[in-house]
Amino acid sequence: MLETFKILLPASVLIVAALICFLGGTTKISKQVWGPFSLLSLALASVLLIAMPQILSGSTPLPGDSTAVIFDPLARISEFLALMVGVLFAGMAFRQEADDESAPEFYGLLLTLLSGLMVVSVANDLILLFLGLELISIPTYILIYLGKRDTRCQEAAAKYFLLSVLSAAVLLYGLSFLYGMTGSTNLTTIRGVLQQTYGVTNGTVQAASVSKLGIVALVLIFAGLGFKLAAVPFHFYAPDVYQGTNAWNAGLLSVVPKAAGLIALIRIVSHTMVGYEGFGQTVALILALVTMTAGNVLALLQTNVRRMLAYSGVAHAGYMLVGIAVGFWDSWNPTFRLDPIYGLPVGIQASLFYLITYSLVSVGFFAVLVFLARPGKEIEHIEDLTGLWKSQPWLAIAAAIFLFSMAGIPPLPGFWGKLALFGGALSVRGDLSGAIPYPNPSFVALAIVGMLNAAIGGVYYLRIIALMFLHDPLSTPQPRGGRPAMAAVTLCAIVTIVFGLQSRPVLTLLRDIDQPTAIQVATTPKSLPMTAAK
Amino acid sequence: MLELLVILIPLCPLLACLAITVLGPSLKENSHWLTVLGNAGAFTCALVALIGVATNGFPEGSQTIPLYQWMSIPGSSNTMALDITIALHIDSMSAIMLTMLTFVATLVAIYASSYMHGDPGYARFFACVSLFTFSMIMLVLSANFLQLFMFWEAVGLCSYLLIGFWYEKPSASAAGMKAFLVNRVGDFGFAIGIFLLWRTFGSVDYVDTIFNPAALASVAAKYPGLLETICLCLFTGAIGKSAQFPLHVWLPDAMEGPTPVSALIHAATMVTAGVYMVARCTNLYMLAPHAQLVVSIIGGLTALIAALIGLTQTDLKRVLAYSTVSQLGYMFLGLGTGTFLGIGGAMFHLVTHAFFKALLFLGAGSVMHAMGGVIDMRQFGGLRKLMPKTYATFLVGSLALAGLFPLSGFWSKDTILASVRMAAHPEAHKADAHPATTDGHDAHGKPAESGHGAADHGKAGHGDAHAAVASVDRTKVKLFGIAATTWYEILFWAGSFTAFLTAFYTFRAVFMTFHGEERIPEEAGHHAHESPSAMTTPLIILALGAAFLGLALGHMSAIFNGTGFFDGFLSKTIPGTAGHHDADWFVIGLSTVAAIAGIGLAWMMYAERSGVPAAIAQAVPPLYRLSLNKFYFDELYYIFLVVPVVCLAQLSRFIDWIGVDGLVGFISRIPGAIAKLARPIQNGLVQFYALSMMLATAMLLWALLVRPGL
Repeated sequence: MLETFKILLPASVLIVAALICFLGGTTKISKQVWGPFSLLSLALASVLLIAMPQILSGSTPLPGDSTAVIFDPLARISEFLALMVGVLFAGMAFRQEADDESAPEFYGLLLTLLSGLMVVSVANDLILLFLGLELISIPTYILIYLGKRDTRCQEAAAKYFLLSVLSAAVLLYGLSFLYGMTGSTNLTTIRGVLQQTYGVTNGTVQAASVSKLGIVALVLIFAGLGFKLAAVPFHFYAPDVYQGTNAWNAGLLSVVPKAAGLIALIRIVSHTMVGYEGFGQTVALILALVTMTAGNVLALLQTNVRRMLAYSGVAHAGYMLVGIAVGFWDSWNPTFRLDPIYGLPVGIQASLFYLITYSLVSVGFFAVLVFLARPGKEIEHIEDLTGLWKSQPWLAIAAAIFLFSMAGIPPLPGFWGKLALFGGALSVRGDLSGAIPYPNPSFVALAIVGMLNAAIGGVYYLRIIALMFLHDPLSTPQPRGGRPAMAAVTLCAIVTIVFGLQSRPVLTLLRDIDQPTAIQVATTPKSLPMTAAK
Repeated sequence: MLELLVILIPLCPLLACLAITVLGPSLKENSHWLTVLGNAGAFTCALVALIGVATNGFPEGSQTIPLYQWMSIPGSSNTMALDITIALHIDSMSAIMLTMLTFVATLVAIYASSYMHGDPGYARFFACVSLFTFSMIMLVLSANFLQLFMFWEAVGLCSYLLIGFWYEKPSASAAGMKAFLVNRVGDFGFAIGIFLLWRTFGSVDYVDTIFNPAALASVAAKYPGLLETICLCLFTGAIGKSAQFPLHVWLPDAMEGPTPVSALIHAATMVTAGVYMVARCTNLYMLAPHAQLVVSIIGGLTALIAALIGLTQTDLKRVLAYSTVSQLGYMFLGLGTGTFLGIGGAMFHLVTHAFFKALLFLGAGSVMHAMGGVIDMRQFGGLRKLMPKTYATFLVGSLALAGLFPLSGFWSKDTILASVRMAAHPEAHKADAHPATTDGHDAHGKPAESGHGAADHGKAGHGDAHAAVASVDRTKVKLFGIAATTWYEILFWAGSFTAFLTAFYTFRAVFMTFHGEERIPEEAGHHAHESPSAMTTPLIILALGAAFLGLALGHMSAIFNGTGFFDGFLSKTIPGTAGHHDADWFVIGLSTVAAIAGIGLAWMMYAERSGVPAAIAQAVPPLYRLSLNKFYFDELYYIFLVVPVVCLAQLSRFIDWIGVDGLVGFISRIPGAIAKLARPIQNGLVQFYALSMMLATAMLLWALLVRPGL
């Protein structure tokens, strides 16, 4: 019990800090203090997180099926990601929100939302995980509304609210099936029960016991979390909302829900739903194909920066789903374990790697937009960035670095991410039984579509770079983002370059994340769940 | 500690370059301080490293210092491993190159601070020079072929930037472009050579390829022609970079760049990268006797042709440029003999040439500075009284270039000629350091006796390499049906004749510039005086080097049947070079006679403005015009290469325009068209969005539950 609280300590710090913000906002304390205060609380949470192994060392670890939280490598790296993103966004908001009367609420909401992401990272229980997801969603509604307060913004907030609630309901419905099947909300227990009902005899699965309820649960969970990831066709809100709100909010939306969705997907489906790998793989494959393609193709037409970035974010979610699909195959076939290709991670690890690289450059590019924004005058059109090289050379270089990384140009991290994802897909050999030694056609198709998409993506990223560098400015921008946003841009740019040149530390962290080993599967095609479900 | 110093060598100029780039606008005419400091720092470190190598500071005589591994892809059954690491490899050969390079670079930077005075691109110039120094140092210190190639291209880029430094001058930017494009031809072969190495050895690291005699020997035994091919491909790169026939045409045009650049890049350092690379790959070339013969033939041919062209040029810098081409040819001539005497001689000639040729170029720059940018020798003359320091130093450099005893050029050129003669008469030199005719034990037994650091040969495998080398019998090698010995015999006489030509055209330039009646062109204006001390001091220092380097380090003792310091030092990397050799009195005599004859003839013809040259030109007009027009190489290339390529380009453009563009344009419109079709779905209606989401979920459920075969 005590251990549970210890693990939740960093998230609790943020919650307490958020409460102080909300309460303190009603007093006459200067609005200026809340930015530094929230940074301080994030720093404290980071310290606690770094010291977590020491904090936990004294207590005896309980078996996983009796705890609501878990502190494994996945939790660790996700929490680090949450705090990194949090520091960057809190910093970016300094100038923008400091003189705003709603500053305390603003920072309070940001901290709440980050604590939600941290809860999702450590949750080992369906209820807690759902709670974490809602801790992200609810503050987001308000933040979107606080952003600009015009009718478009209200429309965006309302849209996001309605669709988010709908998707939460779908997710919850899916989770209830899972609970109904297994009688538990604890993920470890669910895994154990599924493993048993799956009927392992002599190390092989009696696939006939795969429940149709499980398939329903799987699809509903994918649908619910697909909304968070902004996977097609659950992406509809993204372009409208990104365009309706300001750059800061759009940046937050592009990173935090996506991270939460991916982590939750890994926790609930990839790591838990033993025996449903075949179905999971099918769903992930379809979603990945549709999402990548639709995101990139639609991004081509956009003239609004944030709308374009929304579609680009959709496309990146598609890339991440490629890794999820490969991960299902990998955990299905422990005997044919995929080797890290080019020394890079495969499957789920590759997805997380891609999430980290994407978050980095996405935050960076939105920070550029935040820096360039004036009160009441956001950067709307792509043309607004024309000739940025002339007026803000460093900003233009940094923006180009982010865009190049998104486009997957070596040696930037986006390139390594795509290499890991598509390389992983190409290293999948044979069908689910692993009996056929040639590359799996579906995964080869996935990799080819992915690479075509990367090419299409290059068009709209490079178009912005061309506008920034090759044309004369249309007007002189008068940015007022100030030093914090600039610092965020600089930090992201430097980290991006360093990351691209030396990604070993992150790879080492990722390597410890389990590719959960499923039970041994019968190798006769008959017992495959896909055919068995007929 | 020494490792740290080695890392500092490239770091100093790199930091200088970055600092100038960032601070350039505010530093302006003080930018040179950073370059000078960076280069001097690098020189100090290089000198310490050299001493470190000489005193066995590195445990194995050489050391590879890995700096940073960018990527590492392990190989599997059907894929090749690829390991990209930036590492520094220091041994005696790279230490020699580094010390020479950084020393000359420092002097040139000092010289340029005065020469470039008042130029609007002052900071840009010094940033480029620092970048070049850094790149060249990294090239020399490379520990694998990929890094070598990378910095090979980087020095090419710096060369391009500096040739076209005065880019507003059309001829300068055209020359920069020409240098860049001609080098591409060579680099193409070079890249193929590296790919072949990688395919053959599964690695591009020196330790796995050229420093691994066992692997070399096994490949040589398995695929006899492969190493020859690799050597020829690599040599193609050297032909481009070191301006050898037939790719020599870019170097004379490169004289459009500022003169300090010509001295540093296009005489002393960058153009010798090809020589350095071939010398670096000695173990490889030793197993490829045909390729070596080709190296020698190309070298000898280039030396002769360039010298013939140099006879009639009237642009002082161009005379020196052709002379550089010719001298580089000498180095390849020595490298290709397949004897350690020749390789050692080539490396030694590389060092001495760097000194006297940098000196001559800087002297020419001093003249050019005084003459207000005029460099045509017909427009000035008799400057020896006006510019005594420049004259004296230029004379020293010329004597060294002519190869007159006891200046440095004499020692190195003599060694090369002697090695060629030895290759022509292997039977007469059986006892000498000629691995082809000794059985391996002898070949590497010799350096051990000579006591010059035999215990620290570096890689233990060196001995094996020479055992493998010994298995190649050079006397049986033939090319175009002519035996190798005959080729070397021809090359020896061609080289000796070139020595005579060299002395002649060098002193033709000296006499035309400094002797006769004093004539100063109008452009000179008030500039017509001796250059400031920032320019003359480097000249004097280089002149000292050009005069005494050979005496101090070279084959002084070789005459008395010993080993020179240079060879003894180099033997730490290429053990065979320390083998002692008898002085070849025939060669010494012949080359001295040739030099004196050349200088004498030049004196007769040009010391006073006489009618003799014109009379000769009229007597043999075709030959004269052939030389004056540089054997029509540029015109030949224009007709046979440029015109067809341009035609092909036009044709391709046409095809591209109507065929490919249409197709590509069509394909590129597909995503956009799809997007336009899909766009209405995003209609902004939230109820529609919700419906779509639910429908999609339902479809997925249907697909998995009802139609599981999907």
